[in-house]
Formats: sequence, C-alpha cells, structure tokens
Amino acid sequence: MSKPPITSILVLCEGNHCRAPMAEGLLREALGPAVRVSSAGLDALVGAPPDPEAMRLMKAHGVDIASHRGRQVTPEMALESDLILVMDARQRAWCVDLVPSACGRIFLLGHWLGSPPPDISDPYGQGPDAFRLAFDAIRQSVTAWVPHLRSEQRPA
Amino acid sequence: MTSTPSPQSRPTPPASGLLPRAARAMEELREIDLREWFLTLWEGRLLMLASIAFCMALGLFIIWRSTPIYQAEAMLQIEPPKNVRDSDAAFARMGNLFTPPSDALTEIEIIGSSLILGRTVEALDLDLVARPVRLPIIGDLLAGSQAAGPRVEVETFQIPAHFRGLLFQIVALPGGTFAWKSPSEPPAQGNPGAAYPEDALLATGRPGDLLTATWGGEKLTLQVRTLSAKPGQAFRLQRRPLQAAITDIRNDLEASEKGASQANRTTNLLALAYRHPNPALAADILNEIMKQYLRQNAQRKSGEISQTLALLQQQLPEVQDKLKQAEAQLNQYRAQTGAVDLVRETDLALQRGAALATQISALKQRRQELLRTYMEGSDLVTTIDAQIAKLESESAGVNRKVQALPGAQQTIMRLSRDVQANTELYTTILNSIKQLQVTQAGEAQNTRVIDAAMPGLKPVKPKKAMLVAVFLILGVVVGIGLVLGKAALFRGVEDHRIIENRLGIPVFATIPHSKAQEGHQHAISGGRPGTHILAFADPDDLATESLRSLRTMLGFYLRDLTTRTVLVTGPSPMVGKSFVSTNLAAVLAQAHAKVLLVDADMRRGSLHAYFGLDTRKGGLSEVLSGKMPWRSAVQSTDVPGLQVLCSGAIPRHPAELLTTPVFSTFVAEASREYEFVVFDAPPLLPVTDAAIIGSKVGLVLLVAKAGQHPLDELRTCQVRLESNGISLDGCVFNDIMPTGLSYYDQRYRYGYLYAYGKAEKG
Repeated sequence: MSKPPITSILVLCEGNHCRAPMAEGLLREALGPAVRVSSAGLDALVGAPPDPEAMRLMKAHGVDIASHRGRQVTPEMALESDLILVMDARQRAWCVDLVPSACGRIFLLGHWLGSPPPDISDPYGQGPDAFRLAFDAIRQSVTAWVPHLRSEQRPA
Repeated sequence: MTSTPSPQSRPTPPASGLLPRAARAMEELREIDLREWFLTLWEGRLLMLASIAFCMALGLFIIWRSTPIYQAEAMLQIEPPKNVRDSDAAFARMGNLFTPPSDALTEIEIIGSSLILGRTVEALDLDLVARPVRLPIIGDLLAGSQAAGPRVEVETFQIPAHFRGLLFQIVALPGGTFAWKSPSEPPAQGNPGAAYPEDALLATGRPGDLLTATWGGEKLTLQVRTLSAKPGQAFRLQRRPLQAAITDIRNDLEASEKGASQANRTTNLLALAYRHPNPALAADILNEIMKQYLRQNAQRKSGEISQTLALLQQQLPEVQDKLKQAEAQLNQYRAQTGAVDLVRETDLALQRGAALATQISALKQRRQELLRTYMEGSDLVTTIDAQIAKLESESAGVNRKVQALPGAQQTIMRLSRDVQANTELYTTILNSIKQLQVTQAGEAQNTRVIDAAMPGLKPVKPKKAMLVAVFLILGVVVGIGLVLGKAALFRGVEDHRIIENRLGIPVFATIPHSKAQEGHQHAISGGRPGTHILAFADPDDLATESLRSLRTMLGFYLRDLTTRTVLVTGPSPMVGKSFVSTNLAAVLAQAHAKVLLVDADMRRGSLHAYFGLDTRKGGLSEVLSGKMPWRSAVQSTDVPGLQVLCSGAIPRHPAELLTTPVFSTFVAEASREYEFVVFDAPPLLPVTDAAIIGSKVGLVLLVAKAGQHPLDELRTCQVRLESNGISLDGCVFNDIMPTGLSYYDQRYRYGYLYAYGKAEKG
C-alpha cells in the first residue's frame, strides 16, 4: 500500500439538486460499501428531493436516488472527507474559500477527462436534453475516477 | 483579490428567502474588497505608526520652535448710527428686514485704514527694524523663541523717505562701541549726482550718542539706546517702506462688531484684537491704534460742526444788520410822525379780525363734514350757514375799521412787523450757535474706549491642541498613503487563486499559519532535542490538515510516476521549505509508507534540528564526495516509517557535487528502496542547486509564503525551472496569516474551533 486509501468522498454541486446526487449515486454503485460517498450543495436547496428528471435518468440507469435530500455543505463535512469532488473550477474556488485547509483534496469530477478538465454544466431548469448531457458527463467522469480510487498496486 | 465568481443564476425557491444569487455575489465581492483594504492597512500598521510618530514629532518640533504669538484685546463703543424715523408705520415694521448697513462696518474700515495705521506706525516707530543678522530660516529656528541673544534698541533713526527699505548695519565692536555702516546697494530713486559708497563706515559710537552721518548727500541721524551683543555681531537696521509696515499691522489686526452675528442686532461695540510675539508691544500698538482712531474721529465730528458754525456765524452779522435797519426805520418813522403809539383799538381790531378768520374757517370745515352725512339745506347745515354769514359780516366790519385807520399807523404796523421778524431770526441763529458750541465740546465722548488693551497672558498661537490634531491626522493620512502605495508597488500575492489563474500552476495546498508551529520553530532554532514536527506533534492542527490534503493531492499526482521523488523548493529563503518538506514526509510516513527525507540544502541545511539531531555532519555532502555510502548516512527518526539524510558538512562547491553521477545513482537507488523520497532543496532564485536536483526528480513543488512574493518573482521561478527543462508541478501556499480581518480568517477560526473540538473528543 502506497498511499492512504480514500475512505470517504464528498460530492459537491451548487444546489445539491441534480448533479451531485447523480454523481453520488453513480460513485456509490461503482465503489460499493468500502467507501462512504455523500453529497452536499454549496448553496443547497435544503431538504429538497433531487430533480425529477435526474431521478428518472438514474432510475433508468438502475440507481434509485429518490431518498436523497438536499443539504448545505459545512466545513466539517469537507474536513472529514478524504476527497471532495466538485463540478467546475468556480465551485472549486468557492470550496477552497470555505475550507482552505482542504485545498489539496478538492478535485473536479472531470479531473481525468482531459486537461484542462471539462466542467459539468448545471442542467437545472434547462430541460431533459441538458440533463441527459450532464448525466453522460457525470457517468464518464465517475468511470474515469473509479480506478484511481481503488487501492491500486504500485507500478513496477 | 479575485472575487468569488458570481454563481449562475438559478431561480431561488420562495421558501429560502435569500437574495438573488447575483446580487449576493456582488455584495460578497464588495465586502472582500473592503476587507482586503482593511487587511492591507492592518498589515501595514507598523508603517502607519511610524508615519504617525514621525508626523507627531515634526508637529511637536514645530510647536516647540514656533514663536508664541500673544493677543491683546480691546473694546470700543462707537456712536450709534442716526436713526431714520420712518413716517410710515408699516415700513418701520419692515425696517428690520432692510437694516441699513451698520455704522460699525464703516468704523472697522476706518480703523483699518492706512490713515489710522500709518499714524500708528509713525507714533510707535513700527517701521524701524533692528534685529541681529541670522541665517535665513535655520537661524530663526535655532534661535527659537528665546528672548536671550544679541539685542539692540534704537532711540532715533532718521533718514530721508527714499532711503526707506535700505539695509543699514550696526556691528558691535569690542568695548561696548559699535560701528554704523551704509547699505550695500544704492537707493532705487537716488540722486543721479550723489555717490553711494557701499558698506562704508558711517560712524562709530556708544549707545546713547547721537550720531550724524552723510550718505549720498543726505543727512542721517542715529541714536542707539541699548546694545547687548558679542563683538562682531551684526544687526540689520532699516526703516521699512511705510506701506509695508502698514500692511503688516493690518494683517495682525482684527476688528469685529460684538454680537453682530445675531441678526438685526447692532451693539455698536467693536471688539479689537492685535497679535504680536511681544505681548506688551501688542497692547501698546492696539492702544495706539485706538488713540489714533479716536483722535481722527473727534476731528471728523468737530469738523462737521465747525462747518455749520462757520456758516451760521457768517449769517449772523447780516441778520443783525437787517434787524438794526428795521429798528432804525421804525424809530425814524416814529420820530417823523410824532410819537404815535399804536392805538389799542387797531390792535384789538387786528386781533379780532384774525380770530374771526379762524372761526370762519373752522365753521366751513365743520360744514364740509356735515355735508357728508346731511343734505344741503338740512337743519344743521343751514344753522352753520347762518353762523358763517354772521361771522363774515362781522369780519367785513373789522376790515373796514382797519382800512379806515390812518396810513401812518399802517406804516408803523408794517415796520413793527419787520422788526419782530428780524428779531426772531436773530435769536434763532444765536441759539443754534450756542447749541452747536455745546455739542462741539461734548461731541467726541460718544465714541469711547470701554476696555483698553492689556498684554495677553497666554500665547494664542501656536494652537497646540489643534496643531497636534492636524499633525496626527496628517500622520494617519500619510501612513495610509504609504501603506497603500507600498501595497500597490509591492504586491505580494495574497491569494492563491492568483497563482492558479495567472501562472497556471495548480496550488496543491494552502497552509494556514500555525501557532503550534511557532513553538516548534523556537525549539528548532534553539537546537532542543526531540522531534519538532507539527504533523507528528499536533495531528489536529489545521496546518496538518492542509498537509494531509497535500498528501491526497500528491497521491493522485505521483501514482503514475516511475520515481516517487518530490523536490520542495521556494523562490527565496525563509518561506517554509523545510517545514513543508519535513511535515510532508511525516504525513506520508503516517499513511504507512516508507519515506526518506533528504536535506539537499548543503549550504544552510537545518533538517537535523527538526529531529533533535545534534549535527548535520555525516550526511549528503559526505555521501556525494564519496566519504561514506548513503545507506549508512541515513538516520532513523521518531516518526515511524520516516528516515532522514542530513545535509552533511558544508562542502566547497555544493552545486558541482549535485551534478556528479554519485547523486544520480543515489536518487535512483533511494527511489527504489523507499516509496517516497522528499528532497528539501535550497531556494531557487539565489542558487542553482534546486534546478539541478529538479531535473532528477519526479515532481517539483514550489513553496510560496503568503504575501511575500510578487507575482513576477513566482513567474521567474517558473521560467527558471522551465529553461532547465523542468516543469513546475504545483505550488504550496504557506503561512496564511489569520490577521483578524482576512477573508480566510473566519474560515480558519471556524476550523480551529473545529479542530479543537475534535481534539477534545480525543
């Protein structure tokens, strides 16, 4: 083992309403119970269920996120997580301001998809097509993250 | 400071009751700017204090050195302005809207006139200047306000008017005598024929002697009253042009009407004030001004009266002549006609006639009044008509009687009337003259001095409290200017996002200033035994939290690298390179990895102190110079899994040692045996060592101290590395100070509380 395992992941988006719940659901499905995945919003619609369109897409994918309720991120949440994933560079800056000490743990969800990493734009109120795009981007990103999050063997 | 980017607009649910996002973002931005501003000021507080101290010192020096000015005050009562009685009552009521300009203003102007002040100057010799020659400005400052020092008092100094303004000199000589020297330049309007020898000796003498001299064909006199000076001390002696002296006095004189500030009130009391460094002289000058004013006033008033008097006295003889003539004629006529007395009847008749005439006119008036209410022919009117008719017939009878009087008597009557009229005129004029003469005697007493000027007891200038306040404010303003100016010129990067946005270097971690680290720093510089590593000693410190974040970040970065070697450097010394490298190695080791920490700063290496080791000897420099194999130079530490290689004794050419193949071999072997190798390198800008090591390691980290480096300095580091073919992988933003105002602080404080709470829980 070469580096500390990632045991808890916090996914952030703006409203904790569409993107983060989808990413949370996909990560949880991919990583299983070994890693604690949670999500929160930088400016959350507290207590709100996910967007129906997001729920529909996730359901079609086979993950039920209906039980999710929006919550506002706190510094404690950020400090307790080993890894914080955000949707775009602006949110990263926002999050660094919130918890400067966590600066090194904040990554874009699209980190492994290219350089510079693509942002995942907010589908809120944009109609089903935007949601479809966001969902695809999130799914690609999560797929790219997963190998990096499993305890890997050191390359020879 | 870059702002938090404005969030995209998203319809806010009605329940949340928050401002629209964009507005809130704007507000946040403004807040940050203001905070930034205060933060800058707070950080520059020492500079501000210095500036305030300097300005205060300057102010106090000026106060200490400035000549105290005393004020003499006096009060004058002036003649009340003549009241113009308005016949119209309504207009009189409006009168207070149109108050005629107070006479006091006129009098104030008169007091400040060249006439009065000129006489004052002449009376007190105020145009005479006799003062020691000093260096300009500095000399005055050095002499300060002390009355001690060379002095001369001049009794008389008479020169022709066109010599005014020329600088004569008095030079003290041994034995209490002095020399009187001519000016060093001829007068502007001199006689063309006359000779004006420059700096010529005019005369010598003792105080008390009346000296006379001739210069340029004009006779001059000088009498010195007293002289106290060391031999060789020179004095300026000058009669200033009158106008200049008058202007000076006018500038020091203040006159105002008491209570004039209240509308429509005139008190006719003038408050006068005169300012001068010498309190006694100030009082003298003010009293003299008042004296001259009163004199002038009296002259002016009595002048008006005398004119009237003269006119009346001119008329008096004429009237007297007329009277005499009339009397003579009457007497003559009486003598001619034989002494005929006025017949009583005539008298009576005349009186009766006059009485009747008045009665008739009264009745006629009454009749007019009655006609307003009664018709013509009504009872009352007819009654009045009847009365009038009766009286008119009576008066006609009297007239007939008078006309029937003899002509002689008529003539006598006419003459008597002349005499009577002339007598009355004569007595009137005589009375007026008497009255005016009385007035003339008591005239000037209307204007009088209420309070004579007294020497002021306390100086009114410099106004110490006000000057101190002014200089304090000046100090604050200059301080703010300096701080902001300095901040504008030397902008150390305060915000890690600037590094990301402008240089494109990712910031892997932001490390807050740690109180605990201060203690460790003391222990390290004191060379105390024991391990002084924050991550080891204070795992709950926020700085440690940041370092763990850095570990997470490096975990992802180093995963694909063949050699997990990290170089930690910085732009300049004292930015926390050793702190970062040591603590990074420690947190890596705490994650159950085998880590080697190498002190690659062979010039000023100090890592041994972090681990409480006595000496740096037996380290990298010995390994590279082939004195010992590296494995035996590595030492274990208190941190499980962490081993350290000290810098070794200071070699002669550290940079050259790093280019040897020995070093490359060492790096290769170490990276195979350890999961992580962390190099603590010398700073990048002063020496080349870091760049040499950088070409052999997997990842290069630049430690930048918050607020210490202008952006250009960091850019130079980047360029320096890139020119050696090394990419700068990331930056660690170290030692962010919670200043009490900073944007970060609240977060950090929050974090501190959080960390503290966590520590409590165990």
